[in-house]
Amino acid sequence: MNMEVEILKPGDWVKTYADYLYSLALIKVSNKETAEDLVQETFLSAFKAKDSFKNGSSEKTWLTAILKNKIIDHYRKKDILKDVSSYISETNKGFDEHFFDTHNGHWLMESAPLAWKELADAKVNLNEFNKIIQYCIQKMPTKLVPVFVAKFLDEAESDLICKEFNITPSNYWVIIHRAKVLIRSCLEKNWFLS
Amino acid sequence: MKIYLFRKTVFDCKQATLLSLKKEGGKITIMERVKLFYHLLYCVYCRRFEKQSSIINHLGEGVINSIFTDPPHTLSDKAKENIQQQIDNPGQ
Repeated sequence: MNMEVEILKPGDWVKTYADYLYSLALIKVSNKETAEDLVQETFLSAFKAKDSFKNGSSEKTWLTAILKNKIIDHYRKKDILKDVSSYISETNKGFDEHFFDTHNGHWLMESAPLAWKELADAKVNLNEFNKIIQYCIQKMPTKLVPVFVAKFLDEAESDLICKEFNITPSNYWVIIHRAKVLIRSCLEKNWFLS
Repeated sequence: MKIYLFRKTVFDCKQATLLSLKKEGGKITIMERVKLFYHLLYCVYCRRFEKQSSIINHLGEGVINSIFTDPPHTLSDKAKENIQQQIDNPGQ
């Protein structure tokens, strides 16, 4: 068996990848119809471009990358990140009041991170974690999701994300910070201590 | 004045947690690193935040694969048939 050569099998794509790509799209765009359209566009673009598929890449990675680009185009068309600066300043107070003392920036006692004791010896149930993290991303404000997911799920570099989404590094760090504070708190409430 | 500002910002957890994330992403300046270091000496909550953030990143590495092996959502049959048809009969 030669693992280096992967041959595309477009006839099997829907069976093998449709639910995966749809779930991934749904996490990123939080809208069923949009996710459905994006998956359809992904398969059709991939089919048209199938001759440009390079051996050594995997079918799954290739389709995932095409979907990722479709989603970035979608964010651009919808101007999801257009007014990100004003969004950040408008919601700053609300975020602070929930987690930090607005005078000195200290954690509020009810929001301060607790020790995650059980984690050290307990075997982490990854299945459970995956479900809860998806739930926590769904609960996140939609303006934060694209950047957070690009960093967290796609593991893209910060410079690339700033460029692709056309945001300043300073706004990038504010978004990542808020998203991480929210995700950490959501996980703590729903998983580690339950 | 500089010392006053340093002390004021050093004890700010909102800023310290942001600096932890910059450190994680390899984008922290030396001055920020010093501030964060002093903050973490005194602040158990921000030490927890930093540690938990890295735990979350580590666990997050498996999420994409788990979505592939066990997709939490299903594309409608109608959409699947539609796509399958277009792939099987291109140009129609």
